[in-house]
Amino acid sequence: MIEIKNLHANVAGKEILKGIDLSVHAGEVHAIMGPNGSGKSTLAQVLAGHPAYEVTEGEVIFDGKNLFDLDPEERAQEGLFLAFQYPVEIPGVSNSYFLKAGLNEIRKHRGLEPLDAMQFLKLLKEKMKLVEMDSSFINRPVNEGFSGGEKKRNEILQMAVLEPKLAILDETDSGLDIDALKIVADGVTKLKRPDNAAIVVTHYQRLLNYIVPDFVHVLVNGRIVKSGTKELALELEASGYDSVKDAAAVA
Amino acid sequence: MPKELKEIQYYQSDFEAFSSNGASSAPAWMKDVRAAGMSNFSALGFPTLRHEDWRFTNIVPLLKVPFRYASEHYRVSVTREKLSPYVYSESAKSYVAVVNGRFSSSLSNLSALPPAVEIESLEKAAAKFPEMLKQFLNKHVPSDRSVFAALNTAYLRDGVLLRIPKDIHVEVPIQILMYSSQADDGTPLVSYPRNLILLEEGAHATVVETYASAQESVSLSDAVTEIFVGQNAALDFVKEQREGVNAFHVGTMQVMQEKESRFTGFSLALGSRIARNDLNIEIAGEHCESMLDGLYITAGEQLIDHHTIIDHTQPECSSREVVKGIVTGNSRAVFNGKIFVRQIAQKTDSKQTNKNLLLSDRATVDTKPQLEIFADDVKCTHGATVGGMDPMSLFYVKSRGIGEEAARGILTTGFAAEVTKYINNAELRHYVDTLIIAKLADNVVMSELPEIVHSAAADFSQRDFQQDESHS
Amino acid sequence: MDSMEVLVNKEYKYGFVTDVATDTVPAGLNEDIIRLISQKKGEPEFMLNWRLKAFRHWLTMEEPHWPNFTYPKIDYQSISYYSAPKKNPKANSIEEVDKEILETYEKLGISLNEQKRLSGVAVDAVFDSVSVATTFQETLAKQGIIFCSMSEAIQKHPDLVQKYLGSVVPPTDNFFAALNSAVFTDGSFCFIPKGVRCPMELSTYFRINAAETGQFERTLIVAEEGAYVSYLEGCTAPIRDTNQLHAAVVELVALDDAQIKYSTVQNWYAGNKQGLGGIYNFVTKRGKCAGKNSKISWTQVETGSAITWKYPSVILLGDNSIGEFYSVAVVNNHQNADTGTKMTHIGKNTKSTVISKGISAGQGNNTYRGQIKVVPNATNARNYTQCDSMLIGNKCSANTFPYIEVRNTSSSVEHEASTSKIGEDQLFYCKQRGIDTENAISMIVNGFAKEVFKNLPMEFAVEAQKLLGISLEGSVG
Repeated sequence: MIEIKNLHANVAGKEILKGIDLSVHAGEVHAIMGPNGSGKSTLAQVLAGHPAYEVTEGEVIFDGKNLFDLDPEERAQEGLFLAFQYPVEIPGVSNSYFLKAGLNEIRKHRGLEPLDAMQFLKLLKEKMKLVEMDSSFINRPVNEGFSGGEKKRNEILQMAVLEPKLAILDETDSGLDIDALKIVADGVTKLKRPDNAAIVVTHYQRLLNYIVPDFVHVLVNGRIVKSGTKELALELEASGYDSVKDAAAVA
Repeated sequence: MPKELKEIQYYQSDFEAFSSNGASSAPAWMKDVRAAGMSNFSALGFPTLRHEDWRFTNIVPLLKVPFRYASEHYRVSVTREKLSPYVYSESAKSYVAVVNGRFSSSLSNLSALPPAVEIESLEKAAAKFPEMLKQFLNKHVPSDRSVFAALNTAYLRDGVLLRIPKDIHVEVPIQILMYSSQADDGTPLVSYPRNLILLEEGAHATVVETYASAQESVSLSDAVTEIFVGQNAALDFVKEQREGVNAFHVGTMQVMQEKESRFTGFSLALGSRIARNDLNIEIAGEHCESMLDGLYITAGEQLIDHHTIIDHTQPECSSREVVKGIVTGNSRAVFNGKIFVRQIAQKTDSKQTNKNLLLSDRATVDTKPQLEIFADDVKCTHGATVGGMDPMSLFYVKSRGIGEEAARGILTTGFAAEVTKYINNAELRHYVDTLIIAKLADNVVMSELPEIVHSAAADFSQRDFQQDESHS
Repeated sequence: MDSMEVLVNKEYKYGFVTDVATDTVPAGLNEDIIRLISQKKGEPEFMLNWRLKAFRHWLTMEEPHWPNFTYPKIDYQSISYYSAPKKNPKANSIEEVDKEILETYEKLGISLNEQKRLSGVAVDAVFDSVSVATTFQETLAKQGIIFCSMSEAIQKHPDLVQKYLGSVVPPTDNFFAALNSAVFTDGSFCFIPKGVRCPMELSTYFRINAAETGQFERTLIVAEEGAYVSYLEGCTAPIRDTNQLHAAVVELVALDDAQIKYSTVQNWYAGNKQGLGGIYNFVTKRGKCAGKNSKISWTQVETGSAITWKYPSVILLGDNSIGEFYSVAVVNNHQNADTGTKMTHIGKNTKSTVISKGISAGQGNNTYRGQIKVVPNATNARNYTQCDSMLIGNKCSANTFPYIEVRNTSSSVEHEASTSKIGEDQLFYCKQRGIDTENAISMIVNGFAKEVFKNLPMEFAVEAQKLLGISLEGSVG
């Protein structure tokens, strides 16, 4: 599904990613963990095409295409979805309008007819149940005045509607209380299919109690220093990141 | 002191013809008002950029045009067909037309208005209700400070009198369509319409004041609208200013609010080569609510200037002012908002915001929000921003699969919707939104523009959604 | 607010007069007076010509007036433009300085004796029209730093003076700048050479002593590539019934990667409770971030003067340059302060921050007036402005007049302002916890102004906080 090879990236002239290699196949859930400042979020943003990051080396093949040839919207149309760590507020634009515009662009790209208002409504309603979102949210401006938890749920709703091939969840658990966390995780789990995949970026292990990963990678100082299965996450929780940092230093 | 410009003589000499010809039949009190206006005008003179209130608005292009007073001498053919694009559909049977400053009953349609509502030519009203006019007319117009208000007063003659009697609630929106045009022979014309809107105690109304002009027509509209909102009365008011690109507009709206009244004003400024909108609210009673919002979109060589004053002269009132601007092409937008809080106006709660979306490096925004506060127990804030399209928002929208152009369209219309949401009446809000979309589509290069886009005007409403849910 | 009527009014404690014999030129302003001043100072020809040119231009200018405010007309012919202590106008060492003058500065809390000074602050003391002493000159000279009076600089470093004087504030800039250029008598000059970080705070202490004189000082600070300097300025004057004019010009130049931090505690005599007397403080202060990555930061605490018109500004010419303005202005009694800044964004990626805190009490009138300008080529310019006003009592006023002009789409300019008051309940809460009114007000006001104080050097910050408390005494009970 996605093949990341020797990825290096800078922000404001400073190298953050120093050679990332990672393969994710359909049906898999990968967790990327690491201490603050390790480059986890940078990786997520670079994959989505954030303009502030500059890719200096390496390549990423997404579903057979060179990812860096594509604009952010083309990546989304190809089926790459980023759930933002800090979802952006867009005053004056309603959630439903925004989502319908995105969905129909993606459908157009896939050669599908655009959904009309009623069809979209039906789909939206279905998906909103998934994340237990109140119907009043759909006509409110995108993320504006939403609490932290509501914003994260809104991200998952967007993911549910857009049905990506690869979903990247960037610290979706940060700022969530345990109930909201369960709802979000539940939504993600229900959306899992054999033909899609997810990369879950997180600092804490607790999200992984609900979204069980097939693989866990530890990112330290811009490199993956350790990979393993879900047990690795538990191990990290017990011993902290210092142990892997030391390992990284030795390596 | 600002230097006097010689063009003043030109307007003075036209005034002599005006007072000795068509307008000579006016009652003596009105002639006195005119004379005072003329003397104020002569004393003030036309401003240059050195004048603080005209620092960024150069009126030389306006003064260069040899405008003549739009007297009966000039033939101007205006038909219902010409006006129809500017008639607001909800007011199709409740609008009056004023052409080059003169009330036209033949071009008006008032069939849907309740009979209690008084609406007619100001000139006729002056003869019919001299006492009422003497009481209200020209009482608060800042002719001693504003040269164009003074000039309008000098040429005071006609326009619209609208009176909503005590406790009458008018449901249907009333439109006052102000149409200006050059003469059929191409002579550029200036007109000086004066509207007087009186809401008596407990009255409610929605009024749309539209300024339009014949396309390509060279005209100057120097308008003054006086509004009195009586005790416990409520007025929703939209000033829709969309004259053609060769027209000029200088307008003063002067609102006086009595206690416990509400005024909700919206200025939609899209038209004219140069437009200057002086919008003033004097809060003269306690427990008033005053809202003054607006949106300007400038394109090409346009200059649109808003100068607003909200004057809190009484305690325990609240005001909100949100004015936004979308500035493109070689255009210039000017905003100057003053909030006064007088010494006795304790417990005032006032918020003022001016936000500008600057979409061209050849365009300019000048904004000057001002607070002048003389009372200590008040809550006042103001803010202003100027910036281009936010790159983070653009990325977010694009990351959901939406292309660059469409994303810019969404964000621009969203920016506009953020202020049109303050228009209370849903149909009127939709009407304003439609005009905004049309202006953006004409002037801002965007391949796709979404429909506007606030909570109630999304593709489907909250109600539809719930209905659908109950079916399933 | 009946409970707010107590408190004693402490006197302006810097209001004494020093009895020294002075050499004062006759009142009046004409070319002969300017020649006389230039001659007394033994200036080279170029300086005299510069002054005369400025004077001739000044004659063509009109005195500016702000709307909403009037003050008695200034008679420029009744002012004496030069007054200096008679003995030893400029002593060669501290020991040679007049005893009375040394005592004056001791009394003001400024010791000119290097041994007695706390480490790390060099002082240039300006008494009426002339600099009477400059400390630590030798120490600084070892690193190539020039810190001396402007008169001395004109004598010893004419090249530098000629290169930079008037390069930021041209003599024709405005009415008071033109006047200053014609008649300025002294001031401080600092030059920090390439790559040098000035090891101590430099400071100038201005004292107006003589009656019927004006003070027209001129300060020029140049920081070459990579240099850093922090400069402090303090000012006081005796209590007099008549108004005195202070029209200074300060110019700052920062080359590539240089940084200048300029702090002022302005405590000129403000006039009495009835508004009699006090200094008219009409000052032009401007910095030019000439080089890339340069930074100029103004911090001011304005508590004195009957009228202040002052807009310390930054021209952001170099790419990535930064301008800052932090201000606390307090008005009480009949004081009038109209102050703010201009940030002109010309280079790319330039950034400016403006934080202004105005406190109005008595019948004072406090105005923030600022301009943020972004020219078409100034891509990615950023400005953030915050102006907060606090009113104490119901006879004062607070105004906010920001001018914003933007001509670049990649820029963002943000202005926010708010007005608040010291609430009865805030005061009551403090009192209930055992804090008296005076301290409670001082505490609340200092909290309000904290964002600005934190930018002052430590010693100054303490002084500023005390000053703020004193200025507001008698305003509330």
